[in-house]
Amino acid sequence: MSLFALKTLLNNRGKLITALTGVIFSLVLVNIQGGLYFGLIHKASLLVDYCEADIWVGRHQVENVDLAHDIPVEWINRIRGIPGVQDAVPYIVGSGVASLPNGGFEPVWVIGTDPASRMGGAWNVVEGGEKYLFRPDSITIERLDARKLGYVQTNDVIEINGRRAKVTGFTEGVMGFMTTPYIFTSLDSAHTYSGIREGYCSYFLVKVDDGADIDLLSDQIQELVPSVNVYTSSEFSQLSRDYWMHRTGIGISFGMATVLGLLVGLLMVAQSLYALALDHVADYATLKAIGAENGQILRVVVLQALVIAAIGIAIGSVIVWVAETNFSTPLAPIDIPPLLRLAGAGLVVGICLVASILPFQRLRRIDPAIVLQG
Amino acid sequence: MDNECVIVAKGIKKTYRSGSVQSNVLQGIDMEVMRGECVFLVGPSGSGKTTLLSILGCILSPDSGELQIMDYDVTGLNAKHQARFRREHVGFVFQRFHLFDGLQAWENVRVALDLLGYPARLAKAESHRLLELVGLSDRTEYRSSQLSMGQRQRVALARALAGDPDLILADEPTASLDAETGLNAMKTLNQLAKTLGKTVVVVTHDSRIFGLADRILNLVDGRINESTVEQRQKASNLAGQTVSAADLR
Repeated sequence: MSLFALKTLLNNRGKLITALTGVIFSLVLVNIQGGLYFGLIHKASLLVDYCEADIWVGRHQVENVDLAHDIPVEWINRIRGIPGVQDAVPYIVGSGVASLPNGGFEPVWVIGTDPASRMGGAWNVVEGGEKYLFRPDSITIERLDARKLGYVQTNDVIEINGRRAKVTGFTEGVMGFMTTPYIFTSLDSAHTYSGIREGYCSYFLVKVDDGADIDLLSDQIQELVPSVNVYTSSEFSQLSRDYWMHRTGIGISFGMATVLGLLVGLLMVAQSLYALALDHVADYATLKAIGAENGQILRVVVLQALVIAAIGIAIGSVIVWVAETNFSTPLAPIDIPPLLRLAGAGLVVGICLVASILPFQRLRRIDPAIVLQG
Repeated sequence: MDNECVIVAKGIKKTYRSGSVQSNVLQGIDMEVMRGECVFLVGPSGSGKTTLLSILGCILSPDSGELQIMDYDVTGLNAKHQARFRREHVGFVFQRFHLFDGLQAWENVRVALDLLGYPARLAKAESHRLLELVGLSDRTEYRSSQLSMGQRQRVALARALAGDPDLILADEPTASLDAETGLNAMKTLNQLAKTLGKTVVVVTHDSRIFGLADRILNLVDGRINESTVEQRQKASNLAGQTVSAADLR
């Protein structure tokens, strides 16, 4: 029966193309919409995800890595004394305002880190580098944010909170969820740029010994420093993403667009399979007359649906790859995790199978006697 | 021909209803067909020939009566079991052939074997063998649209023989063919049926092929009048048919 199913499908190119269009449309939409969503929401936890820290310690009730509250640096000593803690360093995430050469202003996020530590520094540095952070007032910025800060170049000087800041490095692709430029600098400079008082910081970044139990250490830190919240990196990353997802509802927006895309795909595949079935009513009646059971007819329709899904997934995946490769930017990153690709393919197979119900309902009612009625 | 009954029908009745209109198409059909026999069902339009053929082929169920085919009581089979019975025991030759347009000749035959669960390689070999049997070994790769009407009829016959059914039912097999092609097609059917020991029931209006029948059952108003061989021959002659029994066999 697979021969009949395949030939019937492939000989009706118009309907095959219509169905494939629906499948490809759905697959591309699911992947691109999902990829944009993940790319965007991933920006909400960028500082956490690219930090080497195993544990984040922040002020009680902190909800988002970008929106921190001050904590006394002296508390860090309690953490450093815990067995299993390899290193713990203060980290600053604060806001500042940059004065631009044209007289304008631009809000910035000041990221202050200990230049001697491996944790919390800039990443994807394409010009300059960490060594410059040892110099007073040197900053590293994202290349795409240079325009916002007055088209600054290396060694240009700007003012942040009225203090001199010299651009000594550039990153590529480091843009936060709120699109406010990140300014990477040393802890000392960060204090002056962000207005956070000496003796305070935003977080403690904790690195644990190899093989140490991170959850256990987190509990111990929480016990020793009661006024803070302690998170593993993955927990804090998720918390930061959840914050924006719930506050902005972007999940619903992307989700609705994806659902609509799936529905359009479903309708196109169902309509094509139904029209294909109607074109071949006499053939199906003949099949039934020579002994095909409804189960065998169902297998024909399902096989056709699966072939449409397979071809659609193959073509759609190529289109998604091209779009991902060519249109993903730091501003609108398309980040498609493997699970999303699998889910997209699974959804497409699902809609094709659901779409096959409609033609089957028509075909199962065909009376084989019609082939004996002239 | 042995004496085994392949078809035993007793009191078969069938009524169609359309709103308040009731049409008693079959009004008590009693018939027996022996193994290897070739029986023609003839009669005027509306006499119930096709309905009877559909019932013999387990496509329709009778309203009452009993029907045994190959010792199976098929009277009360549900749709699923009817389909299975058709698949395993009955071969059909339709008036308009009903070949699958997009498929090659051998593939048309193979579909019937696929339904029976033949493995792909065996199905392909068997399809080619059956087409060779009906004289189409040089047309196996042709699509039905590339075949003449007579060749299509032969493909339909090969498909009917797929799976080695006991019973072959043919509905107006010469209606779509010219006289010579129709006669040749019927000769092929008749010869193969005799050679392979198949039981054949043919619905036809074509008096020119009456000479090929072992028996002719004349349906009038839903009842059967059986013609004798002599009457059949007479009917053939009256219709200008010059085919003798010797020619036909």
